[in-house]
Amino acid sequence: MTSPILKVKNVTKRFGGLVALNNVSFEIHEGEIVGLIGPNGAGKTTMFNVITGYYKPESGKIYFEGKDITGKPPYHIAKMGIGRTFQIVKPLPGLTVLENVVISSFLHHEGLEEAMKRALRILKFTGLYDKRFMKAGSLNVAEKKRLELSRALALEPKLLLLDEVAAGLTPTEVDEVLSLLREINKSGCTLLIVEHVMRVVMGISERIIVLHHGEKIAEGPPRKVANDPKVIEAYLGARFEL
Amino acid sequence: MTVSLIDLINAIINGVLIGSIYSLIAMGLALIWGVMDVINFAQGDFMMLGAFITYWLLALAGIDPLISIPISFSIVFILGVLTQKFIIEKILHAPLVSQITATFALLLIIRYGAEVFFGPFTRRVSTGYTGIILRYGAISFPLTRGIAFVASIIVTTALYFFLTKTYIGIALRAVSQNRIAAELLGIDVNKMYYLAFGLGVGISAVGGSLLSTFYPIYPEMGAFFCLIAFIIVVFGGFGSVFGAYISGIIIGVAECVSALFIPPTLKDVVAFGLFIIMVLIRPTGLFGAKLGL
Amino acid sequence: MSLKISEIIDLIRRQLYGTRGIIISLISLTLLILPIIFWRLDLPFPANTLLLCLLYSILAMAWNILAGYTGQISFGHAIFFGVGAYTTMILMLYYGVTPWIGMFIGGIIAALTGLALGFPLFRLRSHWFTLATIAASEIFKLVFISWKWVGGAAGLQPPIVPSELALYYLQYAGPYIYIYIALGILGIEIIALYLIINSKTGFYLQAIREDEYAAMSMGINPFKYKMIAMLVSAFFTGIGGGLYTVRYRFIDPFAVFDLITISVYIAVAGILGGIYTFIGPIVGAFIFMPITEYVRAQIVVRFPRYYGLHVFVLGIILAIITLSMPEGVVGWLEKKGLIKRELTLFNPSKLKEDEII
Repeated sequence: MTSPILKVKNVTKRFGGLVALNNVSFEIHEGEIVGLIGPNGAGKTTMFNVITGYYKPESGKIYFEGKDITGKPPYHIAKMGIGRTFQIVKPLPGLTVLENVVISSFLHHEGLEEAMKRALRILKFTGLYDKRFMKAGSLNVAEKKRLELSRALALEPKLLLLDEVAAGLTPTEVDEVLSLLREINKSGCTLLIVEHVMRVVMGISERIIVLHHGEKIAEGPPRKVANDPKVIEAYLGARFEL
Repeated sequence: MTVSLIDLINAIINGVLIGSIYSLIAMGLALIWGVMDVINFAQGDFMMLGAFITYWLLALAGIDPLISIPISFSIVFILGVLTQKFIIEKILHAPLVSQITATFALLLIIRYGAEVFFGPFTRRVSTGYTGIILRYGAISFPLTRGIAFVASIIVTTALYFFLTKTYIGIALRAVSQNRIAAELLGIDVNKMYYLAFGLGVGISAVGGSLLSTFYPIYPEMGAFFCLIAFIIVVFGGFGSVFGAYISGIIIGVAECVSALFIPPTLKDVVAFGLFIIMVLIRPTGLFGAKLGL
Repeated sequence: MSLKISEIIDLIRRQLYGTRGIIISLISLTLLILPIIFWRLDLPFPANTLLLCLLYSILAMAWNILAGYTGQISFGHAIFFGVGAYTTMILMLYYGVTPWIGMFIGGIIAALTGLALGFPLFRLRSHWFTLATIAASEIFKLVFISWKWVGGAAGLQPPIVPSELALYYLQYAGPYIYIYIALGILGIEIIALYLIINSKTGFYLQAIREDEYAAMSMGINPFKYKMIAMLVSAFFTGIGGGLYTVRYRFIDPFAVFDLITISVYIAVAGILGGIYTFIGPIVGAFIFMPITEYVRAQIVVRFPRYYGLHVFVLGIILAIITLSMPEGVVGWLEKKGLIKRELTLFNPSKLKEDEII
């Protein structure tokens, strides 16, 4: 078995008295699309923040491509090949869409011309090309989410962490995002997706990890997880179809 | 250079006395910061206005400084409300640069406006009790400083009761803790902002009025006291009004005691150095809390 | 960043095309000829004012790298100005080093000072950073006042040198020669800053200004780039201080470390012109310096009773700008579409679709 691209091992994260992540472990393999779900407050975004270096775990380790990245700062993680989007979108509002993406492109392309060309290419792919000269702050929510995605793609990541890319989107927009994600995965990028919109995460993931109160309570193919009584109990009241 | 115990005790006492005045200015700053998240760079200059109001009331109408305090407070309070309404309110949601330049512009206008209109002269307030020194054994300090200290305690106590026992005072604290929740409770946040700013600069003016009884006054005096006020607020915890009071006393004592050991020109370096150190190691200060008590 | 001289010359040549080119050429020509005219007609006041405009242009442009582009609003740039001024003076006075070199070293020492200050200061966010810069500036002033070796409160002043050494010590009567030196410094600074702004570094700085947290996810190390901005900013500010030294030939801590006449003036120039624009600081300096100088030299000097009037006027200007034109003059012109914001060295608008692949 090939070694996993991402290995989260016994990660615990505390905020004062609150245990946000409790001894969580899982692995992601290259080329997979894995969904990370759980009720609100389960610790999904915290997990992302720990992986990407925004938080330092109290205990546990994170390995990316075999290398220990635990506690390394976010910019280091980005350089190593992990890109991410934020749950609450963070565009660089005073700069244009193009400039936003160019900044990411600089990670792998020092020259302005090269970085711009790459950025434009990505904007074409994500469908924001026509809006490239608009100020990022003036985009609507769906467009801002596309911008987040574009920015993360421009980092040329091997692993992409997507935090609720589909939230607040219309069904059509969700479908568009889904097809983008499939394309991205086809070109070799591993995806780890946090989502509340079940249609998205169940539809696209090969494997699902479920968190509840900071603990991993289930893991497996979508159908198995959906029927897991522990998962249903955690989501009591929520309904989703496959 | 030998320093005797008596010198030390005198320094501490004088430090407490002057610190109580610093505290007033700092408390006003903390109040404004706590409620509105605005750094009032012009805080020292409102203090200067208070001092000058007291001076002019004495010079033109023979009004005793202590009696001038409520007048000085009222005038500057109104000025504060007007400032809030016409200037600060406009930049509350503007980028950081505008917030800084707004109160900085205020600083320049008040400070140098005073210099142009009052003239660049240093003035003194002298009354019948100006020169009296109180002596208890080997300890001595001017009566005016003692009176100022007592007045400072009274003002602070009044503020305490206002903030804890009156509806408006509690509403003010509510706004500082959570603006949205306060709004939902029916509190008119804008009016609270007027109150906060007016009160904040008004208290500072009281400090100025008291200061004028034992300290020379001049238009640019705000510069020093404002920086001291910032140091105190940082030391005492952002937004913690009474933390500011205590730390004002501490800073006053530190200043007076260190004056025994280092050359006078470097005295301020101690204060500024403390500021930078404090901001670095403990940004929440000693008592950090949102308008805590 | 590997840019050859030929590319730089090419860049300059490209700027001279079209209406923009004509305007730049006209302005440059005017600035080159004015000093001669002033000298011939014996008009020291306009000449002095022009020099001050240029000096503050140099300072404000440097300040804006840190303020407008990186979002760190400093009101303590007098530190770098004073360090540059003192370094130039000390090298000249105590060691006989020509200020042609001294100014440059002054810039370097100022940059190093910025480096040292950056470690504590960049840990602070928003207005606490600004406050700390003010406090630090006051500390420097007080230290220099107490420091005997640099003249303490009395300051330093070089002797008059014989005329054959005038070039070596850059000692000339009147402001006229210094205007050309200032133009030279400003020209180099503009080119250097333009190259930086249009590079990866420039973009990274703006990302930090917009959202430091998000910038980190894009591979940007905020501390490292704030330091880079600080180095550049402090360097040119220090050179400005050196220019001040050779022109005025008397420096003391009260003059060169002054909060209002150095730090605040610089900030006002930048904000008035527009801190989110490239040439805003220059425009700002050229607008407000003549006003302030006129008030100071023509009114305040004649009527000392009204000392402070020029700063009062400054305060009014700042208040008006803050309330009604926070984007500054150039920013306002851009907003109205009267000026086009040419974003980059490499203009993406000119890129055709098929060129991307």
